[in-house]
Parts: sequence; structure tokens; C-alpha cells
Amino acid sequence: MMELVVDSIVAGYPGRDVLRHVSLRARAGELLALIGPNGAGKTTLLRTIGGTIRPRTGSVRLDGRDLLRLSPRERARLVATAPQGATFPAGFNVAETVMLGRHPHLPLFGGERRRDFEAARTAMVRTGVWFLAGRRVESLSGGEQQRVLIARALAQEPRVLLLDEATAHLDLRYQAQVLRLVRALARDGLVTIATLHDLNLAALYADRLALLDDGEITAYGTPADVLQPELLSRVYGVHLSVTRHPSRHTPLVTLADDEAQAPDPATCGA
Amino acid sequence: MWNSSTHQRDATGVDTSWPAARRRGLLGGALLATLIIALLSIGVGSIAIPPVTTLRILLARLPLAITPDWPAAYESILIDIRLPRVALVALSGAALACSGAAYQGLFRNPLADPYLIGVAAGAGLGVVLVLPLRPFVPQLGTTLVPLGAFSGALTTVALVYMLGRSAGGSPVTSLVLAGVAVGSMAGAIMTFLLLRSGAQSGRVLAFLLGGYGGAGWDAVLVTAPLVLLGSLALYAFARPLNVLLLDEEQARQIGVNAPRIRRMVIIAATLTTAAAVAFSGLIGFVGLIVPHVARLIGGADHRRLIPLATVGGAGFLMLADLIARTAITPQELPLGVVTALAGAPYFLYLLRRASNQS
Repeated sequence: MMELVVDSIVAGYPGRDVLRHVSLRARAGELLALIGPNGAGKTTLLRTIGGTIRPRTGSVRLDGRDLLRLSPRERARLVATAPQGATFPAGFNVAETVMLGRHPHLPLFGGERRRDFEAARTAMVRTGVWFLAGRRVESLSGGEQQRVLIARALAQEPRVLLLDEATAHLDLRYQAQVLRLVRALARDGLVTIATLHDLNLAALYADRLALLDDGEITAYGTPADVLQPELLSRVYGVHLSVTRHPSRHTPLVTLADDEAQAPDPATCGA
Repeated sequence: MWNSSTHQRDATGVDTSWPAARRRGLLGGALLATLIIALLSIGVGSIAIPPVTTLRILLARLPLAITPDWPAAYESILIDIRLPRVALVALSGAALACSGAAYQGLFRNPLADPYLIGVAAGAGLGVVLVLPLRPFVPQLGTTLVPLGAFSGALTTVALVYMLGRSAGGSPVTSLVLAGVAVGSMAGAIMTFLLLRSGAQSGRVLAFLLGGYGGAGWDAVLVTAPLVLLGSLALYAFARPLNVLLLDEEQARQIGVNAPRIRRMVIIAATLTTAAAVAFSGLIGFVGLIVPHVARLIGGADHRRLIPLATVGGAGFLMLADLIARTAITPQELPLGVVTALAGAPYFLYLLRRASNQS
């Protein structure tokens, strides 16, 4: 079973460490969700695994291979990212956009071959955007654009799929659609890591959760293990209660913000 | 919309044809139109030569059985005067449109043109700086101005590139900002020097507005290899340029070595543009508008865009030159005036059409 091992990563931006000795394991076949408050380091961790940030120390290994030592091209054949708030090249249709994902497999001055067209088509069929192949990306809905991004990542034929807030700005139907797809891709055998803002989506779709708090992982395990009311209330700094989902019996997190008891955050410290 | 003519369907009735394979005849059509414009352009002038005769005079240079039945003067007008001028115009148009297309992709900015990061200001300053040397190096003769323009352009872009790289922030934005700063600086120095040496300002102004009056075969022979080499290099980088249309972060995620590709594209585009600028001065609008028109007609994939813009640029500038020579004979209009007057309305029309379609 393929496994991604993140070992004591210290990473961040010039003059500011965001991640402090983060270690993490992600297994192929499972969907791992990174959760945590804004600024906890979810995206930084994803970018470090994806290779666009170099950590100061630590390693990222896929079945023992150190991903940080690979060239950008080699790494892009193993790790693909569907980023948040991605911009699409103007005037490109869906097929052309997805084909950009073949870049790490092509020689610098070479064109696509039959193999590349097939890989791009397979990715579009898998994500359900093949019927949109000739449409301009900017004319698509948010949910369709997100699936195009995932298709482009799949066209890289990676072993590791990273998704940054794949459900942001999507309505409930598209949230369900995208996360069902992401979980199915994990079941196909990809190491799949997604940052998720919405704890209830994470509880419904993820196999494992890693809770980040201020650059450290404070909890790791199944949704039932991680989504504990005291822990969450402390990490998020607001009173939360956890009940059962009425039909799925997964944890259901709701705000229990009682203004009479807690100080008003707006006036706090004024 | 998807208008591939050969729709294939698999067993389940799903269309399996690849949607990008469209408009194959476009480049061929543009090439043909450009050749026709070239033929017309060579024939028109104070002495009109019919297109058929033009073609036969040209073909007579090849070992074909064509007996000359035209006045001998036609041949020297055609071969020695008009052909080099038209060739130089075509080369400049091709160079500017090709570099413009590459720059618009590289900087992800629709307002980018070949002069964006200092070629124009550098060339102008170069000319002003070399003109006082004229009496000291008489053996250089007419090549002094092109030499000054070419080296001025290259030096300025190199300076902009180094400054832009050492600045923080997004590399693309830093380059553009460094280009603006260095460009204004070079422009200011040029103006200062021009004001102090009043006698030379006519020559410099003529250069800045784009002048082909003295174009000969020597200019063509110097320009052609540089433009050919540069545009072929830009074409070779067409697919990597597609990936650079994504933002910096996404390009890195897909495994692109963005700094290296950017450096190579800037070198190729600068050589191409500087070669054109050296002999033909600064002609606005071609490098901005022709790539946009090519994109609206043929799509945004650089592998189609760069060849189409190159051919289109040559054709467009020859047409503009034809108008510049004939509109108010015996006077000539500055080429830049014609490119803007003719190009802008057509461009606006295409923009309106494109926005109505989507």
C-alpha cells in the first residue's frame, strides 16, 4: 500500500514559520482532510507537499522516495494539485485546459502524442467534464470549473492528489458532487489530501482528519476521534457542540455560541 | 463552440473527437492573403506595374523559360527599390506581431506589446547617443543608426531584466514595473540630449516614427536571419508559453521551470524586436493588435497563435505601408498613423463580435 509520509516539516514564508514540526501519514485509498482555523497552516502544508514551498527542515516521502529532492517535472508526475481560486487561461476550452496537465510528461519542445490525448480524455471522463470538452472554461459554472481543475490534475497521472478548498464557493449540490468524486478518486488508489473548511463536509466524506492548530497537528484520526467538542471549542476559540448526523450518524458540529455566557468577540480586548 | 467537422462517436454514442483540432485552413489562408498583398504592394507606386508582370519579373530570376517583355526600368525599380522595402516592412510586421503575441502570453497582460520592457526607449536612446559619433566613424555610414538602435535596445532590456529579477514580489509584475521605470529614465535622457543638439532632432524623430525611405537589400540581409531565428525560437516555446498562462503557483505545480522559459522568451523576443526596430524605427500598434486579432480568430493556444500572428503581422504591415505610400501621393504618411487608423476600428469590431458571441 502506497503511503505518503511527512516528517517534521518546518516551513513558511520569509521571516515567519507557519508549520512547526508537522508530521503526517496519508495512505492510498483513503481521503485525508486537513481541517483547522484560518491561518493554522492547512494551505501551507498542502503547498509544501506539492513542492511549491521549500521547507526549512523535514522531508516528504512517497514510498520512501524523497519528493523534495525531485526536479519540478519529476515531482509533477507524482503529485498534482487542484489549487484554490485558480485562474484559467483566457480563451482556452476545457480540453485544452486539461491538456496543460500533460506538461510534465512532454519534452520541452515536443507536442502531445496519442498517449497524452488518451490520458487527458480519461481524466475528463472520470471527472464528468468530457461532454464540456469544447466549451470555454470561463463560461462554466463554479462546480464544473472545479471538476476541470481536478481533471487537469488527473491528466498528470499522479500518485498523490492535493485539493485546496475544493468546495469553496460551491452550492450544496456541487459540494456533494465534488467530494463524492474526490472520495472515489481516493478509492481508485490515489493518496488524496484535501483541505476543508467545513467540518461537517469533512465528517461526511473524509476517512481521516488531521486537525491543525497554529502550525501543529493537534489531532489525527477518524472523524469520530477528532471531532470532539472540547478540543474543537479550544482550537477554534468559540463554543461548539457535536451531535450525531440524523441519518449517517457521523459527528455533526454546530456553533453553540451563547452570547450571554461568552464575551462578545467584537468588544473583547477593546 | 465546438466546430470540428469530423465528429467520431464511440459505441455508446459519445463524441470522441478532439475539440482542439479546428480551423486547419486558417494559417494557409493567411499565408495566401499575405502573398497577394506582397505582390500588390510591390507593383504599386509612382510607376504602376501590373501584378502579373510583377510575378513574371520575380519568376524570371529563377531558371525558368520566361522571356522579358517589359521595360528594363521595371526590373530595377522592382528588384532594387520596392522589393527590399516591402521585404523589410514584412519582416518588421512579422517580428513585432510575433514578439507581441509571446509577450502577451508571458506577462498574462492583454496590453503587453514588444516595446513593453524597454526595447523602444532603449533603441531611441541608442540612436541619440550614436549620432554625435557620425563624423568620427565615417566608414560605418548608414549602419550607424541601426547599430545604435539595436545595441541600445538590447542593453536596456538586459538592464530591465536584471533589475526586475532582483526586485521582490511576483516576477512578472516586477519586470513590467522595472520596464516602466527604466523606460521613462531612458526617455528622459533622450529628450535632454535631443534638446541640446537641435540639429540632429529631425533624423531622430524620423526614426522614432518609423521610416523605410532608405531601405536596401543590406538592411534586409541583416534583419531577415535575426527575425527568422527569433520567431522560430518563440514558436518552439509555444507550448511552454501555454502553461505560463496559468499563474506562477499553478505553473510550478505542473512542473514548469518558469524562470528559465521566461528568460528564453525574453531573449528571443528582444532579438526579434530589436532587429526590426534597428532598420525600421518604432511602429506602434502592430505588436499589440495583430496578436489580439489572431487570438480572436484562431484561438489562444500559442502553437496556433504565434504562426498566425507572424504571418498576419507581415500582411497587415505591408497593407498599411501600401496605404501610407499611396493615400496622399506624392507625400508619404507615417506608418504608425496608418496602422492605428486602419487597425483600431477593425479591432473594435472584432471585440464587439466576440463579446456578443459569449
